[in-house]
Amino acid sequence: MMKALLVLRLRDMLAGLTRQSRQKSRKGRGMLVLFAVLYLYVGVVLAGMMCMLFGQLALPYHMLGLDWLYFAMAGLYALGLSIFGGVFTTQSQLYDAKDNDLLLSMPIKPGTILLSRLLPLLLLNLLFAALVMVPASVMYAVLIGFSPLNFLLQLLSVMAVTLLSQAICCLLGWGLHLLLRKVNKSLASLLYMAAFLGLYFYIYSQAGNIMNSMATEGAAIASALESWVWPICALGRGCNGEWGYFLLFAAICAAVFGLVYWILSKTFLRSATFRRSSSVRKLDLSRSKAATPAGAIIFKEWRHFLGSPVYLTNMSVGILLTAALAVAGVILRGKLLGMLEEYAVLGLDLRAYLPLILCALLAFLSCMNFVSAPSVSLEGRNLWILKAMPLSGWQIISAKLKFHCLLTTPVAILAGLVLSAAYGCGIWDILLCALIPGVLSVLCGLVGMVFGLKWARLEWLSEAYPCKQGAAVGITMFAMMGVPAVLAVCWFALRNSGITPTVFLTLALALLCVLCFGLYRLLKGWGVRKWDSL
Amino acid sequence: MLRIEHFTKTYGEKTAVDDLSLCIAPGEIFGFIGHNGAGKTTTLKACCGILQFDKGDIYIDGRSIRTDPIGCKRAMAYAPDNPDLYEFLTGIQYLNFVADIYGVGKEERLEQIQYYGGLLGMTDDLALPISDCSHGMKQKIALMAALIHKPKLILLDEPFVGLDPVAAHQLKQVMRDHCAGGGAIFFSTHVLEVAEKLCDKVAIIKGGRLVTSGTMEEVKGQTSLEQVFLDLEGTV
Repeated sequence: MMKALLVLRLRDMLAGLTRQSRQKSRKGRGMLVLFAVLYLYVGVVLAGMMCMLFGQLALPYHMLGLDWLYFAMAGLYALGLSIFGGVFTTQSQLYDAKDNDLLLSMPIKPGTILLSRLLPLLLLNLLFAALVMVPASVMYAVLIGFSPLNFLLQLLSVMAVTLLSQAICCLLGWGLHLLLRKVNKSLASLLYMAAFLGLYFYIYSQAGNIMNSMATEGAAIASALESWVWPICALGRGCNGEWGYFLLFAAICAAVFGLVYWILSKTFLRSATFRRSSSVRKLDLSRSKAATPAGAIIFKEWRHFLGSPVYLTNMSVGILLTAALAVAGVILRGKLLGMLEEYAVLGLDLRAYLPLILCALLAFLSCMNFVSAPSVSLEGRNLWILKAMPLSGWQIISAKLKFHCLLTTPVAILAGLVLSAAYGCGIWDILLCALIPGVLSVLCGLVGMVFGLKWARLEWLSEAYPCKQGAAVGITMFAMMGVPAVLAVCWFALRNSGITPTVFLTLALALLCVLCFGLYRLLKGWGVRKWDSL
Repeated sequence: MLRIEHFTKTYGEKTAVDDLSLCIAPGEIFGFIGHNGAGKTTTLKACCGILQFDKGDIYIDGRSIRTDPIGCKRAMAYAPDNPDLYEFLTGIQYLNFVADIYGVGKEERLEQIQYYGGLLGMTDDLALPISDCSHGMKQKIALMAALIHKPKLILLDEPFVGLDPVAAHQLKQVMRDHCAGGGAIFFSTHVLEVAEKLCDKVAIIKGGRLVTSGTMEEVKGQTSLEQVFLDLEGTV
């Protein structure tokens, strides 16, 4: 039974990555290979970052005789990354899966269903933990020395950390599920995302200080860990070759996971089948207003966006970050301008490149909105509604695009205007700083719509699939990461040819407009045919 | 009102519907009967432009669904057997959405919502999010959405499934009134008693091929529709 459930889960996960409907074979395999390459790329980038991070810690800790602390820090990082990466997925996979009712109606123990959902999540957490701990082990082996026994213990510790992080994810996911009973899901998710981003940027801004503290205050950190978080201390010592500590840590992780699993399996039936009680509402027909068909679709998209936590929080991070950048840029204006003055005194005058820097920052953030990419797949079983209505494919596609642009473009333009004006750019540069992020946000919508149509996946059990695991969103994300990167490469290639930032940005804007026009034409032709064939 | 000519639809190598031809005149309630997987839903979905098909053509009020799908869709409405609606909208928001797409004015839509809401016992429940509605309530919202723009032709897939007896009775009355006003209804059903009492014409489909069609009297003769259906299916 467990095998059948696991096969079901894995098939569902694979279907999320590949093409979905009735088309199988070559296309599906091709997508799988493409996704493997993309995930490999992300993995290599993250592992590289971890190598850089731990490369700075290995020697100082070794010289202090605190090798165990090095591994304890790696374990803490691994724990943090897997918990952050796994909480929402755990919550949605365990409690929001649409086949919970079906499976619970079958003669399967709730604990078995729970376990079948937990095993793929454990695999995901294992990947997160390995992304941190394996590079840490490799850097230690390269910089300090390699011991096969220690390396084996370090690899086994990754599994133990995975158990612990999954247990914590389950508890947090359970708490989140209970919380979402009381409050609006989308609002709670938005607050969570804002809180996380705030914490992330705080830590990021303090990264230098933290690294210095970690390197110089090893003894104090070691003492604190030994006093307060001794299992992490045991993890560090275990990774450093002390078998007893490893077994102790592994036993703690297994016990915590077992306990959490036991609690959840006892409460799974009640939690998974809970339905929020609906308040009695009075119908007020006088508030009904007539709108145009495009307005009606945009309103529908808006309600969907607001009503779906996973759509709201995952597909529009760029909006929040762009607004935050504009606000932070204005607040820190004096400080940042002062820094630029200091650099200028030191011979590095970046003031002439301000429009370029602002555009690069805003471009990067404008390419992080993927509202249009999952919008076709999100129609799911409701696709019949739009298909049965007297609407052309283009009316639907253009309304979805308009919705994307209405959400993202004004923020991008406004942020560009505010920042470039605040930092004293000239009028043409102000225009460029506003238009380039604006056009990029439109481009992001167009690219998302093209890939959304190309890799539409209409069969899913949870909205998390089209939003988080769908090919359309993944490929749009990589494609849009490539646009600012290509422009940056072009700038570095051309900067010695005498081109000014303003001329370069003007050319970039023209190029982006041409790209947008090309994709617009593509959607009007191929896109409409593709929609009609869904 | 609806003319299906040599309609053929295949899924890969499987022929779901093979060379189907039917004609439904204004004022007729036309029942479409067949076992599970016979091709009823495929035919209805093709008629309302959801499914593209391989051969033949379908005409709604003289327009081809292939060449003028939007014109055809303006003249008709469709309610599926499984009412998957936008769960993030309330019932009234969904009805307003449909009315906006069909260009129904404010006064007219309010009149329709009040009338059908009262008839199907849904008026107050329209304020609820659709995610909080039962299957039957969703079915009623889907029916109200199908009726809101006063279509000439209504396509209904198993419309009585999930409806309570009062709502089912009201729906039959709505169907009769619609056809009395010059409209037409083409619906699939497994409830042969309902089809026998309600339909002016009936067609029976088996394995994607039309087995028989005609007026109720022509099809059933002196026996019951159930007997004819079972005979044709080779069950007795």
